Amino acid sequence: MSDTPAATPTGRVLIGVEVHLQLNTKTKCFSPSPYSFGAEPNTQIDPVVMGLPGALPVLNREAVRLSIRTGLALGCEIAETTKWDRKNYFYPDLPKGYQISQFDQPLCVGGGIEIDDDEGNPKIVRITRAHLEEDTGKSTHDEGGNKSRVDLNRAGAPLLEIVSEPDINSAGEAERYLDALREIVAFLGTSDGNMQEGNLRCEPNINVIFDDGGKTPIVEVKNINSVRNVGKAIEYETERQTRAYLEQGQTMANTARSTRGWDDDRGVTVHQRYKESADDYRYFPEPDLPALTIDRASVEAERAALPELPRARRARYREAYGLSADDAVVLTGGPVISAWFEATLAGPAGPRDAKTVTNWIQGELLRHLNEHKMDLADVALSPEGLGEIVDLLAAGTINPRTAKELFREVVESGASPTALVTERGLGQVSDRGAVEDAVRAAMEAQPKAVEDVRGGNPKARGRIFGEAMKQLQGRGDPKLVGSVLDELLG
Amino acid sequence: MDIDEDLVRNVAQLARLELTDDEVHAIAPQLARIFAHVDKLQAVDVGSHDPATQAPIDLDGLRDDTVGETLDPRAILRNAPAHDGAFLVVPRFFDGDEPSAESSAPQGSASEGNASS
Repeated sequence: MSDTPAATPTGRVLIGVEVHLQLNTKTKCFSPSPYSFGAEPNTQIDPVVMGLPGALPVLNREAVRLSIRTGLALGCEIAETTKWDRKNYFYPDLPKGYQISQFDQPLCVGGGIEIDDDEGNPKIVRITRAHLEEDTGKSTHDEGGNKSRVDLNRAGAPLLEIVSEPDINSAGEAERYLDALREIVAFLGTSDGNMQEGNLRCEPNINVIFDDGGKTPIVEVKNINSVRNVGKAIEYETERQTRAYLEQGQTMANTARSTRGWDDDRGVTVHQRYKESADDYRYFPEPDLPALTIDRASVEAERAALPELPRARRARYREAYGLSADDAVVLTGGPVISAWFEATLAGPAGPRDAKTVTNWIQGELLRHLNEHKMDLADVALSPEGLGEIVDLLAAGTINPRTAKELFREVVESGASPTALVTERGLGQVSDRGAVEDAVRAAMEAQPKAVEDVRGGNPKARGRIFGEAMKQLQGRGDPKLVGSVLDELLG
Repeated sequence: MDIDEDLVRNVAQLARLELTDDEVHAIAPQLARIFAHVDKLQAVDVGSHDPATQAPIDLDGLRDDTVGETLDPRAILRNAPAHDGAFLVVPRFFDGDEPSAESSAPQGSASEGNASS
């Protein structure tokens, strides 16, 4: 839009986001069949899911608890009384002909998520409400064919629908909102938050407001499978709507709201339908489910059990430990790495040096995980094991090279580094006599290098140093070896 | 509540019922009489009580998250008009409730549906 002439109105995009978050329960929202992603099609179905006559829904307590936990972390008020309603529509992946959802008394109301705006300043995206409903089945459509295939395993899985206010003003803000939400639920353990597997789905509502008062009709975009594509869909829609307004005069007043689908291959949104008005879903109270009252003691117990959330954690790591912004981001990348960092930091004799611990995790540990395509949960090494290496190094018991070798060994075996050092005599050689012998032997073995150094080429010093360390099986105290070498070289 | 023929047509469309003009013509006054009857209930003074279908329950009254019995997938497939392997098969449909006349589906690409909104 930077090339628009000065006379043309300037637009500002408004985005509200609907997120469907699949909750980590073992069973469905209103019935006891299991749900897990990737199971054989149509094997996780019971009479309630199938909508068989006489089958009655019974609400899953864990789905309510996970919703409350998520709602509290997002700053929502938890309703004292909440109820479920039928949202009626016909769709092949909704066997009952209605979805059990919540209309006028949602479980969670208000709240917000703090993100950085495009200038890096903190900004709250307000949450309107979050309600607990059931998921639909999953359908796949034939390429160019006339049939759709339906798998009802997902039908009835518990979803928390989190609706934001239109407080998001760019693709980047939308992506950061989703990343923040994913991080929060990862720390809470309430959902896997994985967009590829569909346990977090996002539908942005997008329109553009112009400074001449014009407003484009709101478009909801569906079928987006990654956070990055949410951003791309918003960028595409912002441009498309701006053109439709400037070139065709399309506005909210003359054009209905619509739903468009994201076409990932072409990187465009495609018109699907104009929206039915909300009334047409004919919401009415679900007669098969009683209203639910939520006692305040249970809510407070959930609140007390909330973990420190990633954004607060990052701020604390920077303030309390002096970590860089990048280090703080890596170490709060998930609950596992964050717990690892904090456990390694907590030495038996008081906290270990945070920067050293960070460097070991960022350097050796993450490099090892990347190289072997492993998760932190898969390594045999414990935080205490890494802590021992840090302690052995800090105490001068081992030298940096031995520390790295020890790390490579214990990361796979999980053995105690302290025990290995004692067992194999890996302790650093700090005995002056032994170091002197080694340096002399090294100088004899590298006469050319000695000549070079004495002739004014300091680079050759490294070769003699390396040879001396080799004489000491790599265990020499590097500082002592260096100073002895300098003395003997004169 | 005014029951006119447009409302009958709209309700029939939402319920996916195919009604002839004669049927619409016949049903509208019948529905009007039924609604008039139900309207009498509105006249009852219920004081300040909120409408409720059942007494509310608390968290203790909910179901434990414990896996129970599932239906035999073969029985589900046998019950369906058509299936392809383990999938139920239905006429191809579009995301959203119904495609509008102007809609153009992304051709040549398999897309995944998600009706929840």
